[in-house]
Amino acid sequence: MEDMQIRNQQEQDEFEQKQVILTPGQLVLKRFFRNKLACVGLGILIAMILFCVVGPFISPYGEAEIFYINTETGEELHMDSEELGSGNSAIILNGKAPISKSHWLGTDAEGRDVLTRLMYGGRVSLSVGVVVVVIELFLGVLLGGLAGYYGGKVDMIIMRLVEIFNCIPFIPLMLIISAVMFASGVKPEHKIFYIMGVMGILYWAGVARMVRGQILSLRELEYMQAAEATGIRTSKKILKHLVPNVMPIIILIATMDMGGVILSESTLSFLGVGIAFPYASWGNMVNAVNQSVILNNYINIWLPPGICILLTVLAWNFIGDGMRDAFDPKMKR
Amino acid sequence: MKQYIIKRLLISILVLFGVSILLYSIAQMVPGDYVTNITNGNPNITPEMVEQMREAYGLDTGPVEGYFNWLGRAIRGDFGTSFVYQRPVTEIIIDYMPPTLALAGIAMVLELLIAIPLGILAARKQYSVTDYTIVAIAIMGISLPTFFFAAVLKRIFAIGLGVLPISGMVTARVDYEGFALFLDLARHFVLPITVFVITGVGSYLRYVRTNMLEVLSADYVRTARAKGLPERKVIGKHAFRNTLIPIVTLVGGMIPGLFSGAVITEGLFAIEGLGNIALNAVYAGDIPYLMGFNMFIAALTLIGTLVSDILYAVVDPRVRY
Repeated sequence: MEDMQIRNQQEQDEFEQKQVILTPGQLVLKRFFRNKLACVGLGILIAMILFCVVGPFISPYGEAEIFYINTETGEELHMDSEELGSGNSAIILNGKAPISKSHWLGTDAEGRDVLTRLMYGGRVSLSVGVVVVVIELFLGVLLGGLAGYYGGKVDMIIMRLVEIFNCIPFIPLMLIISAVMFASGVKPEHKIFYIMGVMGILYWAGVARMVRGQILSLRELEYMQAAEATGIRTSKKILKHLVPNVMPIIILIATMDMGGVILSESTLSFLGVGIAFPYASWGNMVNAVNQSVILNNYINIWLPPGICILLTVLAWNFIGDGMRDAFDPKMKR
Repeated sequence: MKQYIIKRLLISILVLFGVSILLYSIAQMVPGDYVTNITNGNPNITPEMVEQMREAYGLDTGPVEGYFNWLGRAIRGDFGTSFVYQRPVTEIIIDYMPPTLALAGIAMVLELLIAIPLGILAARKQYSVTDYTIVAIAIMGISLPTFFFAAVLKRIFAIGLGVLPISGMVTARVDYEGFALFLDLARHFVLPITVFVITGVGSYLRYVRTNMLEVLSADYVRTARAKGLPERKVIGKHAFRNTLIPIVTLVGGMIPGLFSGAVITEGLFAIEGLGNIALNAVYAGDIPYLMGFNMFIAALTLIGTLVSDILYAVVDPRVRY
């Protein structure tokens, strides 16, 4: 009998030792990687980032490098080539070149390598996504946090601000801002920074609303009363006790919004009110379809950037979806 | 209830006031010589109009006074004269609304007709192949860039197969009448509506699915099953009716989206609606029209949220204000 008890005890101990205890973070990761769509999304995204970050170093061409061709010899010339100045009438712009060994995706209407521009365009699209999300999170978490924590008048004012921003849809508002930017003569190379800033400022309202809701419910919990009782500073209460608990929702918003931001930026660039020449962006590369010749006959110019946008946004959305399921404690799978 | 509506209306007016300040200050940022620049090459613009424009944006009087002048006129429905069309902005908005409403309205009905049944189906078979397929397709729709999808559709159906017109609203140089005109219009609307529906349906579908999942795990659904009701009745009578509540609020929120979402699609297919004009207004620097258009959408959004909140109380007897 006693022997049995000891054995039971031993088994119990062994069981406890063998048991893997996962932190909440590990649990989330485990659930995330169980979602196949999310894994596919992560894979696509990593491939895209590699393509855009490492690609330009491997590509022999530059972003705005223009190619000419000698129609007599069929020899391709670089835009810095000395022969260009020779007045040889056989030398013309090598625009809309077909897919070849030297240009894997051909060249666009201005004689630039499509594949190389694709890489640089991706850098713009991806970095716009990251910068805009950082700005919107900063503003949204700060203002949403203030509104949720202090309540009362502060809450009232901030929430009315949120409503104001919410009731002007993005594209129409962006159109009027572009008209003003156009009128003020903003330089194309600075435009991208303005666009990032403006988008970040326009998107914060949604974040603020979610963070506020979260903080409102956290504020009433017992552990916050305990924190109150210890008499620590307000800033510490917010940073140490509230922010870590809002973290999941912040990460969630960040991934969910990333796809939307990239999509909006590419739409603006496509409309010609976003990132402009000489910089490449996936959106303004697809813009070539406005010339019906290109839409009809040169699919290699506009299809690849469109597919890149689709894949990147899709990847972010899959990841966001996976994250939401992984963070949701109600999901018991 | 009455008190609630009055309170909400007052807040809405306050918010609209804020919106107008925001929009006005953006329009204010144009440089002082802008009016001269933009009107220089345009023979249609009379000196009086230039003066009016300068006055409207407080270029003469300073921003604060200018704003109140503008607000005073805006309250009376006068948003100034569009540079491009030489007509009052309000008139243009009313005139060009029908194509936008038709395009977006049909698309909205189709979206709901697709999103509700598929969302419910996906929720009922959660984690099945059906569910994964529906959700994956929905996310793909959300991720599709409108302009790219439109180009692909044009390339396939208008150029490749030649079965549908590439853009515009009616066939040029042909005078159809009556039913033939209607058919011609319908043919031109097929591609834009397809773009609208496929890129828009995903978010509604996911919304319906999430809500249905929530309802399906509710106690009263378990009770309904426990008392032996057939599954058809459990879904149709108990679960579906309760998912309708959030869907009603969704529809209220969709109304302003109809107008703003149309901007790109209309532009791509050259449909003469509000969105297309707004797009052209950007290139022409037609700030009065853009201001009017934005204010119009902002007002619609506020009305939409208000209506959906009131509807919420109407359809859900548990909600009391």
